Amino acid sequence: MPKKDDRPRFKDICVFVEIKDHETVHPGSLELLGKAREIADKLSQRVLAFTFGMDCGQYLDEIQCHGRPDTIFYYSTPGPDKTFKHYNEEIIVPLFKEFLQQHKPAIVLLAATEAGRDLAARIAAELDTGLTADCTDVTIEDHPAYGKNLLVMAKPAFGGNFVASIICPTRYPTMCTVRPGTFRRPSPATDHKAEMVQLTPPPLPKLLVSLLTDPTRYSVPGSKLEEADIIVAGGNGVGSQETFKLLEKLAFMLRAEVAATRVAVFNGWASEDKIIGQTGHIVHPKLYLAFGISGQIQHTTGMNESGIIVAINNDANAPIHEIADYSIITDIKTFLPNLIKELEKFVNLRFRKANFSEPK
Amino acid sequence: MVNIAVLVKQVPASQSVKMDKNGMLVREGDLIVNPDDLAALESALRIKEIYGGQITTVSMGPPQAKDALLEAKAMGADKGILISDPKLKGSDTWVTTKVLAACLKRFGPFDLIFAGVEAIDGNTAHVPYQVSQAMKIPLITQFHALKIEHNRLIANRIKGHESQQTQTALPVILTANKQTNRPRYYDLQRIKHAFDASVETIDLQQLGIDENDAGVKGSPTQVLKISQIVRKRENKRLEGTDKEMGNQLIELLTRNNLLKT
Repeated sequence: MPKKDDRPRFKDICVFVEIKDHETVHPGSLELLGKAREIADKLSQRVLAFTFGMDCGQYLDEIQCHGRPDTIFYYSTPGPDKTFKHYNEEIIVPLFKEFLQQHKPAIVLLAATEAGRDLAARIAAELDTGLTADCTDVTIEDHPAYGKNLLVMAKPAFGGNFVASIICPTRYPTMCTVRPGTFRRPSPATDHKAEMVQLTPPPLPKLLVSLLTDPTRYSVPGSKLEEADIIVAGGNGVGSQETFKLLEKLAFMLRAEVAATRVAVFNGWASEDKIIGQTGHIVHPKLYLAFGISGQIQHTTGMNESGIIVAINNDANAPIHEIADYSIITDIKTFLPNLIKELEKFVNLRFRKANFSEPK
Repeated sequence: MVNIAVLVKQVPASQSVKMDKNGMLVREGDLIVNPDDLAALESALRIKEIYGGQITTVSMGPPQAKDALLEAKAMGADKGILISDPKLKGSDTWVTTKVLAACLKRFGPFDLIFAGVEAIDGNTAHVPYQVSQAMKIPLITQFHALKIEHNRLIANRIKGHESQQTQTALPVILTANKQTNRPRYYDLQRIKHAFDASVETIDLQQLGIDENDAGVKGSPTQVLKISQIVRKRENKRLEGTDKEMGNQLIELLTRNNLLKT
C-alpha cells in the first residue's frame, strides 16, 4: 500500500474513456476530460486518457480534441476480433490495473456507467485505495492535517440535501466516478494534438464467464433526458393516465422530454427509464416543469440543479415549492388543457408534426 | 443442495437521517431491509425451492441490524450472521467489502452469493463488485433467468447492450434489484417463527480482522465535512386564473428563449 512519502511519485490525472456501444465516445467521458484538464492545469500536471475498443483508432480524434489530453493510451484490436469490443471486467481490470501501477496517476476519474462503476470498484479493490461514487464536483484543496493538493470530492448525501466532502488522503490513486451530465462538455479544441500510445496486450486470461450462445443486441431504451433543454415531469399528483398523456402533448409542443417520478412509473403512466432522481436520471435542463410532484428528496436529488424550476401542484404546502422558482397552485386537470390551448397560439403545430412524431 | 449466502443491509426507511458533527451517520426512525437485498433474497429462495439447500444471510451493522436478519428469516432464510463491532463504525465500502469477504470465507464455501445492486442509504453500488474482485469470484449482474447444471450456473443476463446466456463454474456472485423480481410476502407462520429465532453475532476479532483495518481508521476514504446545500430560488407564486397563469408561464418560456415556434 502506498504511504504518504509516495506522494511525489503519484501525479497526473487519468480519465478512463469509455467507447459507448462500440459506436461513440461516451459523453460522460468527454465531460471528465474537460474536468481533468482543469485539475491538471491547476496542479501543472498532465491528463492521461486510457481507452480501449475494436478498431479504436476511429475514436482517438474525438478524444484528443476534448480537454486537450496530453497522452492517449489505448488498446485496440482490428475487427472482427472482439477482444476489446465490449467491456469485459476479466480482460480490462488487469490491463487498467497494470497501466495505473506503471504510470502512477494521482487521480483517476471514470464516468458512472455500467462499465465505469464496475471497473472503478474493482480497481479500487485491487489497488487497496478509496473510491467515491457519483461525485457532483471535484476540487483541489489544501488541508492542515492531510496536506496539499488533495482532491476533494463532493458527493450528495441523504437525498441531496447535504453534500459530503470526501478525500482519500493516504492512498493512491484517489478514484471517483461521476454521473454523465454532471459536468459541461468542453468545447472541442480541433488544433490540439495528443501523444498517442497504443498498448500491446499480454496473453489474455482464461475467462471464467463464458457465453453459451451468440449474444443478441438488447436495445436499452434511449434517453435524451440528460441533454434536454426543457423537461416536463409528472408525479403522482398528475392523477391519471389521461392527464399524463397531456404532459406528453405539452412536451411535444415545447420540444421537451417527458420524465416522471418513481410513483408515476409505479402507477403505470410512464416507463422506468423516465425516472428522475436518486435511482434514475440526474438532469439539469434550462427549465424543469414539475407537474403534481410533491418534491420528495428521492426525486429532487435528480433535478434540483435545473436552471429554472416551475412547480405546478394543487398542494401549496408540498416541499417542491421550496426549491421552485415559480409555483402555480392549481388543479392540473384544468390547468394543463388550458395551457396547451394557449400554447397553440404560439407554436406552429403543422410544422411540428412534420418534424416530430406526436404522441398518441 | 446449494449453499447460498445473501448479503443484507439494514437502512433507514427514509432519507431524513441526521449526521453528527463528525460526519457520522446517525440512524434515526424506522429501519428496513434494503429493498435490493430483498430482491437478492427472493432470487436465493427461488434457487432453493428448485435445487434445495440452505440460505445464510450476512449483514454488517450495529446490533439492531439483527432485525434485518430476522426479517430475512421471516421471508425464508435459514440462518443469519451479524457482524457487529463498535470498531466498524464509519467503515467505508472497501472496509465493508473486506469484512464481508472474511465472513463469507469463514462461514462458506458458498456456491452462490446474492447481493442487492445498491443500498438506498449510500448508493455507491461498490460492495458487490469489490467482493467479487476481493474473493476472485465472478459476478453476474442484471440476470433474469438462472439454472444450475453440473456445478455450473447458466444465467441469462443483460450486459452492456447485449442479451447473453452465460455459463460460469460455481461459486458465483449475483446482484438483484427491483427489475429482477417481486419479493414475496412473509407468511404468518414464518413471522411467528422469526420472533423466536436468533442470529449468530460475531465481532472483528472472531473474523481475524485488525481494528486498525476497520472503521474510520481503516477506511481509505475520509469524510472531510458535511455541508447542507443551500440553493437560491425565486420562490415566487404565480397568481390569477389558469389561463392567466398559463400565459405567465408562456411568457417565462419566451423570455428565456425556450419557446421554439
